Amino acid sequence: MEKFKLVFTGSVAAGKTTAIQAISEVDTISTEVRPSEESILRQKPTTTIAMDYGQVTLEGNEKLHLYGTPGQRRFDFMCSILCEGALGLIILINNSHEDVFTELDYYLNLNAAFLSKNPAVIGVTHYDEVNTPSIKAYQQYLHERGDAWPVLRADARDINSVAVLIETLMFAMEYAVD
Amino acid sequence: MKKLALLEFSQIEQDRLSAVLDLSTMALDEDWLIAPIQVSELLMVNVSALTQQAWKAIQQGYSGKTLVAYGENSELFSAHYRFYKKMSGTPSRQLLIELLNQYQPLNSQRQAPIAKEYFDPEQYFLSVLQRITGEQKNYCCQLGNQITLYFAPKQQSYYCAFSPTMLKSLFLSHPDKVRLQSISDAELASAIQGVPAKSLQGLLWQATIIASQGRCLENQKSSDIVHLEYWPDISQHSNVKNSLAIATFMNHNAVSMELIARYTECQLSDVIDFHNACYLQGLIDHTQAFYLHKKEVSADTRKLRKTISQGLRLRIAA
Repeated sequence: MEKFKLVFTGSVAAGKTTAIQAISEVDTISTEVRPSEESILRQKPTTTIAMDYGQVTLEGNEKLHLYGTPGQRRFDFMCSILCEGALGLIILINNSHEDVFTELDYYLNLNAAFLSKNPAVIGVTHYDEVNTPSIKAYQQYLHERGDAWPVLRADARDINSVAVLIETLMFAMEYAVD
Repeated sequence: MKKLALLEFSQIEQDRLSAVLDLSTMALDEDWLIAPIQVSELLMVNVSALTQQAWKAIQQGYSGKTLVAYGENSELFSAHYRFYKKMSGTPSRQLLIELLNQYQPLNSQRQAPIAKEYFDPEQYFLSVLQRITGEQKNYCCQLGNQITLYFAPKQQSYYCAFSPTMLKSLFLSHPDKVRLQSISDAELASAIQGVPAKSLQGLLWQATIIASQGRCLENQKSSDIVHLEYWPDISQHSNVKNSLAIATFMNHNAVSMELIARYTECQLSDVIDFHNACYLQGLIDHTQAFYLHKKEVSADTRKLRKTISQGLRLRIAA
Protein backbone atom coordinates (compact mmCIF):
# COMPACT_ATOMS: atom_id res chain seq x y z
CA MET A 1 0.00 0.00 0.00
CA GLU A 2 1.22 3.48 -0.79
CA LYS A 3 2.39 5.16 2.38
CA PHE A 4 1.77 8.79 1.48
CA LYS A 5 -1.42 9.36 -0.41
CA LEU A 6 -3.87 12.24 -0.72
CA VAL A 7 -7.20 12.32 -2.51
CA PHE A 8 -8.80 15.23 -4.34
CA THR A 9 -12.56 15.04 -4.66
CA GLY A 10 -15.43 17.35 -5.57
CA SER A 11 -17.97 17.91 -8.29
CA VAL A 12 -17.39 18.11 -12.03
CA ALA A 13 -15.43 21.20 -13.10
CA ALA A 14 -14.27 21.91 -9.53
CA GLY A 15 -10.63 21.63 -10.64
CA LYS A 16 -9.49 18.23 -9.34
CA THR A 17 -7.66 17.19 -12.52
CA THR A 18 -6.23 20.70 -12.95
CA ALA A 19 -4.97 20.83 -9.36
CA ILE A 20 -3.16 17.50 -9.66
CA GLN A 21 -1.69 18.53 -13.00
CA ALA A 22 -0.46 21.79 -11.43
CA ILE A 23 1.44 20.14 -8.58
CA SER A 24 2.51 16.81 -10.04
CA GLU A 25 6.13 16.51 -11.09
CA VAL A 26 5.24 13.89 -13.67
CA ASP A 27 2.69 14.05 -16.42
CA THR A 28 -0.52 13.14 -14.74
CA ILE A 29 -2.37 10.03 -15.73
CA SER A 30 -5.88 11.14 -16.53
CA THR A 31 -8.84 9.07 -17.59
CA GLU A 32 -10.78 11.79 -19.35
CA VAL A 33 -13.50 11.18 -21.90
CA ARG A 34 -16.36 13.14 -23.39
CA PRO A 35 -19.12 13.23 -20.78
CA SER A 36 -22.18 11.10 -21.32
CA GLU A 37 -24.39 13.52 -19.36
CA GLU A 38 -25.57 16.62 -21.23
CA SER A 39 -25.47 18.76 -18.10
CA ILE A 40 -21.79 18.04 -17.69
CA LEU A 41 -20.99 18.50 -21.38
CA ARG A 42 -22.26 22.06 -21.02
CA GLN A 43 -19.64 22.71 -18.31
CA LYS A 44 -16.59 21.11 -19.92
CA PRO A 45 -15.73 19.00 -22.96
CA THR A 46 -14.09 16.14 -21.04
CA THR A 47 -14.52 14.60 -17.62
CA THR A 48 -12.66 12.03 -15.50
CA ILE A 49 -14.22 8.59 -15.46
CA ALA A 50 -11.90 6.55 -13.27
CA MET A 51 -9.29 8.65 -11.55
CA ASP A 52 -6.39 11.08 -11.97
CA TYR A 53 -2.93 10.34 -10.69
CA GLY A 54 0.07 12.51 -10.01
CA GLN A 55 3.03 12.50 -7.64
CA VAL A 56 5.57 14.60 -5.78
CA THR A 57 8.95 13.23 -4.67
CA LEU A 58 9.77 13.52 -0.99
CA GLU A 59 12.95 13.08 1.03
CA GLY A 60 14.51 9.63 0.77
CA ASN A 61 12.95 9.19 -2.68
CA GLU A 62 9.53 8.52 -1.14
CA LYS A 63 6.55 9.63 -3.19
CA LEU A 64 3.48 11.60 -2.26
CA HIS A 65 0.76 10.01 -4.39
CA LEU A 66 -2.08 12.26 -5.49
CA TYR A 67 -5.37 10.82 -6.64
CA GLY A 68 -8.38 12.58 -8.11
CA THR A 69 -11.86 11.05 -8.04
CA PRO A 70 -14.27 11.29 -10.96
CA GLY A 71 -16.80 14.09 -10.81
CA GLN A 72 -19.84 12.31 -12.19
CA ARG A 73 -22.04 10.96 -9.42
CA ARG A 74 -22.31 7.49 -10.95
CA PHE A 75 -18.62 6.99 -10.23
CA ASP A 76 -18.88 7.97 -6.55
CA PHE A 77 -18.05 4.40 -5.53
CA MET A 78 -14.45 5.25 -6.54
CA CYS A 79 -14.18 7.60 -3.55
CA SER A 80 -14.04 4.95 -0.87
CA ILE A 81 -11.67 2.83 -2.97
CA LEU A 82 -9.26 5.71 -3.54
CA CYS A 83 -9.47 6.97 0.06
CA GLU A 84 -8.29 3.68 1.50
CA GLY A 85 -4.99 4.37 3.25
CA ALA A 86 -5.06 8.07 2.36
CA LEU A 87 -3.69 10.69 4.74
CA GLY A 88 -6.54 13.10 4.03
CA LEU A 89 -9.08 14.48 1.61
CA ILE A 90 -9.13 17.74 -0.32
CA ILE A 91 -12.68 18.67 -1.31
CA LEU A 92 -12.84 21.19 -4.15
CA ILE A 93 -16.05 23.15 -4.63
CA ASN A 94 -16.65 25.26 -7.71
CA ASN A 95 -18.02 28.53 -6.36
CA SER A 96 -19.90 29.21 -9.61
CA HIS A 97 -22.07 26.15 -8.98
CA GLU A 98 -25.72 27.03 -8.43
CA ASP A 99 -25.92 25.33 -5.02
CA VAL A 100 -22.49 25.06 -3.44
CA PHE A 101 -23.68 24.08 0.03
CA THR A 102 -25.64 21.11 -1.29
CA GLU A 103 -22.46 20.06 -3.10
CA LEU A 104 -20.41 20.51 0.06
CA ASP A 105 -22.92 18.50 2.09
CA TYR A 106 -22.83 15.75 -0.49
CA TYR A 107 -19.07 15.24 -0.39
CA LEU A 108 -18.82 15.53 3.37
CA ASN A 109 -21.62 12.97 3.81
CA LEU A 110 -20.23 10.65 1.10
CA ASN A 111 -16.90 10.55 2.89
CA ALA A 112 -18.20 10.67 6.46
CA ALA A 113 -16.66 7.34 7.49
CA PHE A 114 -13.23 8.37 6.19
CA LEU A 115 -13.50 11.84 7.78
CA SER A 116 -14.37 10.42 11.18
CA LYS A 117 -10.69 9.43 11.44
CA ASN A 118 -8.90 11.60 8.88
CA PRO A 119 -8.65 15.30 8.03
CA ALA A 120 -10.12 17.30 5.19
CA VAL A 121 -9.66 20.73 3.76
CA ILE A 122 -12.19 22.53 1.56
CA GLY A 123 -10.82 24.43 -1.45
CA VAL A 124 -13.21 26.91 -3.05
CA THR A 125 -12.34 27.33 -6.73
CA HIS A 126 -13.44 29.83 -9.39
CA TYR A 127 -13.61 32.43 -6.62
CA ASP A 128 -12.13 35.05 -8.94
CA GLU A 129 -15.19 34.59 -11.20
CA VAL A 130 -17.84 34.38 -8.48
CA ASN A 131 -17.09 35.54 -4.94
CA THR A 132 -20.41 34.75 -3.33
CA PRO A 133 -20.96 32.83 -1.21
CA SER A 134 -17.94 34.23 0.64
CA ILE A 135 -15.35 32.08 2.37
CA LYS A 136 -16.85 33.21 5.67
CA ALA A 137 -20.25 31.91 4.53
CA TYR A 138 -18.68 28.48 3.93
CA GLN A 139 -17.09 28.60 7.36
CA GLN A 140 -20.39 29.51 8.99
CA TYR A 141 -22.07 26.67 7.12
CA LEU A 142 -19.49 24.16 8.30
CA HIS A 143 -19.77 25.55 11.83
CA GLU A 144 -23.53 24.90 11.74
CA ARG A 145 -22.84 21.37 10.51
CA GLY A 146 -20.46 20.84 13.41
CA ASP A 147 -17.48 20.39 11.08
CA ALA A 148 -14.27 22.28 11.74
CA TRP A 149 -12.44 21.75 8.46
CA PRO A 150 -10.48 24.68 7.07
CA VAL A 151 -11.95 26.47 4.06
CA LEU A 152 -9.61 28.33 1.73
CA ARG A 153 -10.06 29.89 -1.64
CA ALA A 154 -7.93 28.05 -4.15
CA ASP A 155 -6.80 28.38 -7.73
CA ALA A 156 -6.43 24.84 -9.11
CA ARG A 157 -4.16 26.17 -11.90
CA ASP A 158 -1.65 27.63 -9.45
CA ILE A 159 0.97 25.30 -7.95
CA ASN A 160 1.37 27.56 -4.90
CA SER A 161 -2.34 27.54 -4.20
CA VAL A 162 -2.52 23.74 -4.46
CA ALA A 163 0.53 23.43 -2.20
CA VAL A 164 -1.22 25.58 0.44
CA LEU A 165 -4.22 23.21 0.35
CA ILE A 166 -1.97 20.21 0.89
CA GLU A 167 -0.01 21.91 3.69
CA THR A 168 -3.24 22.91 5.41
CA LEU A 169 -4.33 19.29 5.30
CA MET A 170 -1.02 18.24 6.82
CA PHE A 171 -1.38 20.71 9.70
CA ALA A 172 -4.92 19.45 10.29
CA MET A 173 -3.50 15.93 10.45
CA GLU A 174 -0.91 17.08 12.99
CA TYR A 175 -3.17 19.04 15.31
CA ALA A 176 -6.73 17.94 14.75
CA VAL A 177 -6.87 14.21 14.27
CA ASP A 178 -6.29 11.53 16.87
CA MET B 1 21.13 67.73 10.58
CA LYS B 2 19.58 65.10 12.88
CA LYS B 3 21.66 62.92 15.17
CA LEU B 4 21.40 59.27 16.04
CA ALA B 5 23.29 57.64 18.92
CA LEU B 6 23.98 53.91 19.30
CA LEU B 7 24.03 51.98 22.57
CA GLU B 8 25.09 48.35 23.20
CA PHE B 9 26.51 48.05 19.67
CA SER B 10 29.82 46.28 19.02
CA GLN B 11 32.30 48.07 16.78
CA ILE B 12 31.40 45.81 13.83
CA GLU B 13 27.70 46.48 14.33
CA GLN B 14 28.35 50.24 14.52
CA ASP B 15 30.34 50.11 11.30
CA ARG B 16 27.58 48.15 9.55
CA LEU B 17 24.86 50.58 10.61
CA SER B 18 27.01 53.54 9.64
CA ALA B 19 27.58 52.03 6.18
CA VAL B 20 23.86 51.40 5.67
CA LEU B 21 23.10 54.95 6.84
CA ASP B 22 25.54 56.31 4.23
CA LEU B 23 23.83 54.26 1.53
CA SER B 24 20.44 55.59 2.62
CA THR B 25 21.26 59.30 2.34
CA MET B 26 19.51 59.94 -0.97
CA ALA B 27 16.25 58.37 0.24
CA LEU B 28 16.09 60.16 3.60
CA ASP B 29 13.90 63.25 4.06
CA GLU B 30 16.58 64.81 6.31
CA ASP B 31 20.32 64.30 6.88
CA TRP B 32 21.24 61.99 9.73
CA LEU B 33 24.58 61.59 11.49
CA ILE B 34 25.79 59.09 14.10
CA ALA B 35 26.79 61.15 17.14
CA PRO B 36 27.31 60.88 20.94
CA ILE B 37 24.26 60.27 23.11
CA GLN B 38 24.41 63.71 24.76
CA VAL B 39 23.73 65.56 21.50
CA SER B 40 21.43 63.03 19.79
CA GLU B 41 17.66 63.11 19.63
CA LEU B 42 17.30 59.45 18.70
CA LEU B 43 18.93 56.65 20.68
CA MET B 44 19.07 53.22 19.05
CA VAL B 45 19.67 50.41 21.53
CA ASN B 46 20.78 46.95 20.49
CA VAL B 47 18.41 44.78 22.55
CA SER B 48 19.55 41.42 21.15
CA ALA B 49 21.27 40.38 24.38
CA LEU B 50 19.49 42.76 26.72
CA THR B 51 17.33 41.75 29.66
CA GLN B 52 14.06 43.54 30.37
CA GLN B 53 15.61 44.83 33.60
CA ALA B 54 18.51 46.40 31.72
CA TRP B 55 16.08 47.87 29.22
CA LYS B 56 14.03 49.48 32.01
CA ALA B 57 17.22 51.01 33.41
CA ILE B 58 18.02 52.48 29.99
CA GLN B 59 14.48 53.87 29.67
CA GLN B 60 14.84 55.55 33.06
CA GLY B 61 18.36 56.80 32.42
CA TYR B 62 17.50 58.30 29.02
CA SER B 63 13.90 59.33 29.65
CA GLY B 64 14.24 62.46 27.50
CA LYS B 65 15.40 60.52 24.44
CA THR B 66 13.38 58.81 21.76
CA LEU B 67 14.33 55.17 22.01
CA VAL B 68 14.58 52.64 19.19
CA ALA B 69 14.77 48.95 20.09
CA TYR B 70 17.01 47.23 17.54
CA GLY B 71 17.30 43.43 17.39
CA GLU B 72 15.83 40.12 16.19
CA ASN B 73 13.65 40.26 19.32
CA SER B 74 12.80 43.96 19.19
CA GLU B 75 9.08 43.22 19.38
CA LEU B 76 9.53 42.16 23.01
CA PHE B 77 10.70 45.61 24.08
CA SER B 78 8.42 48.57 24.66
CA ALA B 79 9.99 51.46 22.74
CA HIS B 80 9.01 54.50 20.74
CA TYR B 81 10.14 52.69 17.62
CA ARG B 82 11.30 49.20 16.78
CA PHE B 83 13.88 48.31 14.18
CA TYR B 84 13.89 44.63 13.34
CA LYS B 85 17.34 43.12 12.85
CA LYS B 86 17.75 40.38 10.27
CA MET B 87 19.54 37.17 11.16
CA SER B 88 22.33 38.08 8.71
CA GLY B 89 23.31 40.94 11.01
CA THR B 90 23.27 43.62 8.33
CA PRO B 91 20.65 46.25 9.07
CA SER B 92 17.94 46.57 6.45
CA ARG B 93 18.38 49.74 4.42
CA GLN B 94 14.67 49.87 3.63
CA LEU B 95 13.64 49.58 7.28
CA LEU B 96 16.22 52.18 8.36
CA ILE B 97 14.88 54.64 5.79
CA GLU B 98 11.31 54.06 6.92
CA LEU B 99 12.28 54.48 10.58
CA LEU B 100 14.21 57.73 10.12
CA ASN B 101 11.63 59.21 7.74
CA GLN B 102 8.77 58.60 10.13
CA TYR B 103 10.67 59.83 13.20
CA GLN B 104 9.09 62.76 14.96
CA PRO B 105 10.48 64.47 18.12
CA LEU B 106 8.75 63.60 21.38
CA ASN B 107 7.62 67.17 21.95
CA SER B 108 6.14 67.76 18.50
CA GLN B 109 2.37 68.27 18.33
CA ARG B 110 1.77 65.47 15.86
CA GLN B 111 3.62 62.59 17.41
CA ALA B 112 4.48 59.30 15.82
CA PRO B 113 2.66 56.49 17.65
CA ILE B 114 4.33 55.94 21.02
CA ALA B 115 4.85 52.24 21.45
CA LYS B 116 2.37 51.43 24.21
CA GLU B 117 2.56 48.27 26.24
CA TYR B 118 -0.61 47.16 24.50
CA PHE B 119 -1.70 47.35 20.88
CA ASP B 120 -4.14 50.20 20.28
CA PRO B 121 -5.49 50.11 16.68
CA GLU B 122 -6.69 53.73 17.05
CA GLN B 123 -3.05 54.85 17.03
CA TYR B 124 -2.37 53.45 13.56
CA PHE B 125 -3.47 53.67 9.94
CA LEU B 126 -5.45 50.49 10.65
CA SER B 127 -8.21 52.56 12.24
CA VAL B 128 -8.59 54.48 8.97
CA LEU B 129 -8.81 51.21 7.04
CA GLN B 130 -11.42 49.81 9.42
CA ARG B 131 -13.57 52.88 8.86
CA ILE B 132 -13.18 52.80 5.06
CA THR B 133 -14.05 49.08 4.86
CA GLY B 134 -17.56 49.70 6.18
CA GLU B 135 -18.30 52.61 3.83
CA GLN B 136 -19.99 52.79 0.44
CA LYS B 137 -17.92 55.73 -0.90
CA ASN B 138 -14.60 55.52 -2.77
CA TYR B 139 -11.53 57.15 -1.23
CA CYS B 140 -8.11 58.45 -2.14
CA CYS B 141 -5.60 58.14 0.70
CA GLN B 142 -2.14 59.74 0.81
CA LEU B 143 0.82 59.58 3.15
CA GLY B 144 3.23 62.41 2.38
CA ASN B 145 4.04 62.67 -1.30
CA GLN B 146 5.18 59.11 -1.72
CA ILE B 147 2.28 56.78 -1.07
CA THR B 148 -1.17 56.98 -2.65
CA LEU B 149 -3.89 54.37 -2.39
CA TYR B 150 -7.39 54.25 -3.84
CA PHE B 151 -10.20 52.41 -2.11
CA ALA B 152 -13.40 50.90 -3.55
CA PRO B 153 -15.04 49.44 -0.42
CA LYS B 154 -18.16 48.26 -2.28
CA GLN B 155 -15.95 45.89 -4.30
CA GLN B 156 -13.78 45.19 -1.22
CA SER B 157 -10.80 46.30 -3.30
CA TYR B 158 -7.96 48.78 -3.17
CA TYR B 159 -5.49 49.99 -5.80
CA CYS B 160 -1.87 50.85 -5.21
CA ALA B 161 1.40 50.54 -7.08
CA PHE B 162 3.15 49.27 -3.92
CA SER B 163 2.80 45.73 -2.57
CA PRO B 164 1.50 45.42 1.03
CA THR B 165 5.00 44.57 2.26
CA MET B 166 6.26 47.90 0.95
CA LEU B 167 3.56 49.83 2.83
CA LYS B 168 5.08 49.29 6.27
CA SER B 169 5.64 53.00 6.96
CA LEU B 170 1.98 53.63 6.15
CA PHE B 171 0.84 50.87 8.50
CA LEU B 172 2.91 52.36 11.33
CA SER B 173 1.65 55.91 10.75
CA HIS B 174 -0.70 57.72 13.06
CA PRO B 175 -4.09 58.34 11.41
CA ASP B 176 -3.51 62.10 11.66
CA LYS B 177 -0.63 61.83 9.16
CA VAL B 178 -2.88 60.39 6.48
CA ARG B 179 -4.90 62.56 4.07
CA LEU B 180 -8.22 60.99 3.13
CA GLN B 181 -10.59 62.30 0.47
CA SER B 182 -13.76 60.79 -0.94
CA ILE B 183 -13.83 60.54 -4.74
CA SER B 184 -16.47 59.72 -7.33
CA ASP B 185 -16.67 56.51 -9.39
CA ALA B 186 -15.43 58.45 -12.44
CA GLU B 187 -12.43 59.89 -10.54
CA LEU B 188 -11.58 56.42 -9.23
CA ALA B 189 -11.81 54.85 -12.70
CA SER B 190 -9.53 57.52 -14.12
CA ALA B 191 -6.95 57.20 -11.35
CA ILE B 192 -6.64 53.41 -11.35
CA GLN B 193 -6.23 52.72 -15.06
CA GLY B 194 -3.96 49.73 -15.54
CA VAL B 195 -3.59 49.13 -11.79
CA PRO B 196 -4.90 45.72 -10.72
CA ALA B 197 -7.43 45.50 -7.87
CA LYS B 198 -6.15 43.99 -4.63
CA SER B 199 -8.00 42.59 -1.67
CA LEU B 200 -9.01 45.11 0.97
CA GLN B 201 -9.26 42.29 3.51
CA GLY B 202 -5.68 41.32 2.70
CA LEU B 203 -4.55 44.90 3.33
CA LEU B 204 -6.46 45.02 6.62
CA TRP B 205 -4.74 41.81 7.68
CA GLN B 206 -1.25 43.04 6.83
CA ALA B 207 -1.87 46.45 8.45
CA THR B 208 -2.88 44.73 11.70
CA ILE B 209 0.08 42.32 11.70
CA ILE B 210 2.58 45.15 11.18
CA ALA B 211 1.05 47.59 13.69
CA SER B 212 0.46 44.92 16.33
CA GLN B 213 4.23 44.31 16.91
CA GLY B 214 3.74 41.35 19.21
CA ARG B 215 1.59 43.26 21.72
CA CYS B 216 -1.75 42.13 23.10
CA LEU B 217 -4.81 44.30 22.69
CA GLU B 218 -5.87 46.34 25.71
CA ASN B 219 -7.19 44.23 28.60
CA GLN B 220 -6.03 41.02 26.93
CA LYS B 221 -3.11 38.82 27.94
CA SER B 222 -1.11 36.14 26.20
CA SER B 223 -2.36 33.73 28.90
CA ASP B 224 -6.03 34.27 27.91
CA ILE B 225 -7.83 31.21 26.48
CA VAL B 226 -8.58 31.78 22.79
CA HIS B 227 -10.31 29.75 20.11
CA LEU B 228 -10.44 30.47 16.38
CA GLU B 229 -14.07 30.13 15.43
CA TYR B 230 -13.67 30.92 11.72
CA TRP B 231 -10.57 30.71 9.53
CA PRO B 232 -9.19 33.91 8.05
CA ASP B 233 -8.49 33.99 4.31
CA ILE B 234 -4.97 32.58 4.41
CA SER B 235 -4.42 33.16 0.68
CA GLN B 236 -3.92 36.87 1.46
CA HIS B 237 -1.19 36.32 4.06
CA SER B 238 2.51 36.94 3.54
CA ASN B 239 3.67 34.25 6.00
CA VAL B 240 1.37 31.43 4.95
CA LYS B 241 3.21 28.63 6.76
CA ASN B 242 2.95 30.34 10.14
CA SER B 243 -0.68 31.24 9.50
CA LEU B 244 -1.52 27.64 8.58
CA ALA B 245 0.06 26.23 11.73
CA ILE B 246 -1.46 28.79 14.08
CA ALA B 247 -4.90 28.77 12.45
CA THR B 248 -5.18 24.97 12.41
CA PHE B 249 -4.13 24.71 16.03
CA MET B 250 -6.35 27.56 17.24
CA ASN B 251 -9.33 26.15 15.34
CA HIS B 252 -9.11 22.77 17.03
CA ASN B 253 -8.21 23.87 20.54
CA ALA B 254 -9.10 26.50 23.14
CA VAL B 255 -5.81 27.31 24.85
CA SER B 256 -3.61 30.30 25.66
CA MET B 257 -1.49 32.06 23.05
CA GLU B 258 1.58 30.97 24.99
CA LEU B 259 0.57 27.32 24.61
CA ILE B 260 -0.21 27.85 20.93
CA ALA B 261 3.32 29.19 20.42
CA ARG B 262 4.79 26.16 22.18
CA TYR B 263 2.82 23.56 20.24
CA THR B 264 3.18 25.19 16.83
CA GLU B 265 6.85 26.15 17.35
CA CYS B 266 6.00 29.70 16.24
CA GLN B 267 7.20 32.87 17.98
CA LEU B 268 4.78 34.10 20.65
CA SER B 269 4.85 37.54 19.00
CA ASP B 270 3.63 35.96 15.72
CA VAL B 271 0.83 34.17 17.56
CA ILE B 272 -0.21 37.41 19.25
CA ASP B 273 -0.17 39.31 15.95
CA PHE B 274 -2.20 36.54 14.27
CA HIS B 275 -4.68 36.53 17.16
CA ASN B 276 -5.08 40.31 17.01
CA ALA B 277 -5.72 40.27 13.26
CA CYS B 278 -8.34 37.52 13.68
CA TYR B 279 -9.88 39.20 16.72
CA LEU B 280 -10.38 42.48 14.91
CA GLN B 281 -12.15 40.57 12.10
CA GLY B 282 -14.50 38.93 14.58
CA LEU B 283 -13.05 35.42 14.14
CA ILE B 284 -11.99 34.73 17.72
CA ASP B 285 -13.97 33.36 20.65
CA HIS B 286 -12.68 34.28 24.12
CA THR B 287 -15.47 32.56 26.03
CA GLN B 288 -14.56 28.90 25.66
CA ALA B 289 -13.21 26.80 28.49
CA PHE B 290 -9.75 25.32 28.15
CA TYR B 291 -9.69 22.46 25.67
CA LEU B 292 -6.62 20.71 24.30
CA HIS B 293 -7.44 18.18 21.59
CA LYS B 294 -4.16 16.28 21.77
CA LYS B 295 -1.95 16.44 24.82
CA GLU B 296 1.07 15.57 22.73
CA VAL B 297 1.72 16.08 19.06
CA SER B 298 3.00 12.84 17.61
CA ALA B 299 6.63 13.21 16.60
CA ASP B 300 6.05 10.90 13.62
CA THR B 301 3.09 12.98 12.40
CA ARG B 302 5.09 16.19 12.76
CA LYS B 303 8.00 14.64 10.88
CA LEU B 304 5.66 13.50 8.13
CA ARG B 305 4.13 16.95 7.83
CA LYS B 306 7.59 18.54 7.59
CA THR B 307 8.71 15.96 5.02
CA ILE B 308 5.72 16.67 2.81
CA SER B 309 6.11 20.44 3.25
CA GLN B 310 9.75 20.19 2.23
CA GLY B 311 8.82 18.09 -0.81
CA LEU B 312 6.25 20.67 -1.89
CA ARG B 313 8.74 23.52 -1.53
CA LEU B 314 11.25 21.69 -3.70
CA ARG B 315 8.54 20.98 -6.25
CA ILE B 316 7.56 24.66 -6.40
CA ALA B 317 11.18 25.73 -6.72
CA ALA B 318 11.85 23.27 -9.56
